[in-house]
Amino acid sequence: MAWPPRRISTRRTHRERTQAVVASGLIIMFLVIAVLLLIGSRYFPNRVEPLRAAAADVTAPIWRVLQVPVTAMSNAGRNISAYWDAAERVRVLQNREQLYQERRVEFEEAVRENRELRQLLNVVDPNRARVGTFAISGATSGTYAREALIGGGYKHGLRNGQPVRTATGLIGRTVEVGRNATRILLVTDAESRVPVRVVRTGLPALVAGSNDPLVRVDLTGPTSNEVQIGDRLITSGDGGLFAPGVLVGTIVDTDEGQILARPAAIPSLAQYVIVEEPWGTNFEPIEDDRALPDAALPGDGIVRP
Amino acid sequence: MVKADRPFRSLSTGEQVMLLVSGLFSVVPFLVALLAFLIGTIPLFPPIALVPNVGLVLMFLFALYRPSQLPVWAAVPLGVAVDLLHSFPLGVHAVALPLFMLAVQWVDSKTRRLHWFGDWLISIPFIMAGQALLWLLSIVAGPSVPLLPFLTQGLTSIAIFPFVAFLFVSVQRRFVDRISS
Repeated sequence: MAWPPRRISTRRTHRERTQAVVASGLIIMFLVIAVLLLIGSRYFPNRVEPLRAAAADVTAPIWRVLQVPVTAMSNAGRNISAYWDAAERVRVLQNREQLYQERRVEFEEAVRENRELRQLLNVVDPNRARVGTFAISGATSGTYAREALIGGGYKHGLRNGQPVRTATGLIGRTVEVGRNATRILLVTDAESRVPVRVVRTGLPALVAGSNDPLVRVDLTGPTSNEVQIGDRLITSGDGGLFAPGVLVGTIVDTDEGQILARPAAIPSLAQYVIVEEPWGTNFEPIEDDRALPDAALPGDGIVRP
Repeated sequence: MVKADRPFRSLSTGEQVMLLVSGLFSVVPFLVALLAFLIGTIPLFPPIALVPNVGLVLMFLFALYRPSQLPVWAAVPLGVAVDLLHSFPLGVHAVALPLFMLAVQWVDSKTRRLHWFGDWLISIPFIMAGQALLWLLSIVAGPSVPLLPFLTQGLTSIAIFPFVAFLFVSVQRRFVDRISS
C-alpha cells in the first residue's frame, strides 16, 4: 500500500485540483515525447550513436573500479583449482606435445611453400595491424543486445567497425566508440553476421547470432549438408572487415535443419580483447626480409619478385 | 525536509541553503533507480539472460509503496537513460516504465493486501508483463529479437524481489521515516 495513504474522499481543494491537472499534463507530455523518441528510433536508428557512446563512457569506469576485487578473487580461485590438477594437466600436455611435434614439420613446410608461391604471384595481403589490447569493463543484460564494453575509446585509436578477438578466436566488432570506452557487438548478438569458411571442406558460410549462447550457421549453395559436428569455422575475409583465418566457432548441432555452432571466444572467460584494424583497409605490401631458397622454385620463366 | 512556509527572500542565508540542499534530496530516488538499472551492465555474460532487472523491481516498489518519491513523469527521462545504457532503441524504456508505474498504482488503488507476500504475488504478473512490454516495444522500434531472454530475466527478477523489497523498506524506515529498530 502506498505511503502516505491515498485519499479516499473525492473532494479536493482548488489547489489540489490544479496540482492534479498539472501532474496529469506532465505525464501526458512526457509520454508523448517518449512515443516520439520510439518512432524516431524506428526510422533513424543511428542518430543516437554519440549518446550511446557517451553512456558507455560513463558506465565503463564504474565497472572497471568495481571489477578489481571481483577479478582478484576469481583469479585466486582459478589458480587454486589449477594447482590441484597440475600433474594431470602436465601429463596431457606432454602427450599432446609429442603428437604436435610430428605435425609441426609438415605445417612449417606448408607455410614456407605457401609464402614462396604468394611471392611468385605477387599477392599483396593486407596487414593485420593491431590497435591495442583492452580490458572488458561492462556488458548489456543480454535481453535485447549482446554487447560488451571495453576500456578504450576514440583517443586510443578505436573506430567503428574494427574486428575484436581474443586469444581463442573472434569475439565481435566495435560499434559505438566513446572517448574512453567502446561497445563491442558480440558474435552472438542478433544483428551480428560474420562470413566464414568451413576448415575441413573450404565451403563458405555465414555465422549469424540470435541472442543465444550458440550461433546459427547459414551455409550457402547446394552443399548445405556438408558439415559435421566438430567442424571448425574460420573467418573467410569476405567483406573486408575480418581478417581470414581467425577461429569463429565449432559446429555442435546439425539436426532439425538448423546448424548451430559454439563460439570460439567466450566473453565470460576473457578479461582482455585485441582490437585490430579492419582487414580490407590496410593494403600495405608485406615486408618479408626472409630470403627465398633458390632451389625450391618449380617451373622456368617465372619472374621472381 | 525543510518546508518554506515563508517567502524565500525572508529566509536567512542558512535557511535558504538548507532549503536548496533538501530540494536536492528529491533527486535521490531517481539516482537510486538509475543505479539499479546500471546493475544490468555488470560484465558477467551468462549464456542466457540471468542478470535480474533490479531497476524494474525498484520501479514497482516505488510505485507501490512510495509513489510520491518518484513521480510517474520522472520515469520517462529515467527510461531514456536506461535505453542508452542497455543499447535498447531509444524510447523503449521511456514508454514502458511510466505505463508500468501507472498500472501498478491503479491496481494498488483497487486492491488491498495485508502481507508482503501478497505484494510479491502481485509482482509476478506485473514484472512478466513489464518484460513482455519491453520486448514488444523493442521489436516495434528495432529488429526482431527473441522473447525468451526477456522472460528468463523476468523470472530472476521475481526471484530477487524479496531481497530488493527488504533493502528498499529498510532504507525507507531508516533514512526517510527515521525509525530505528
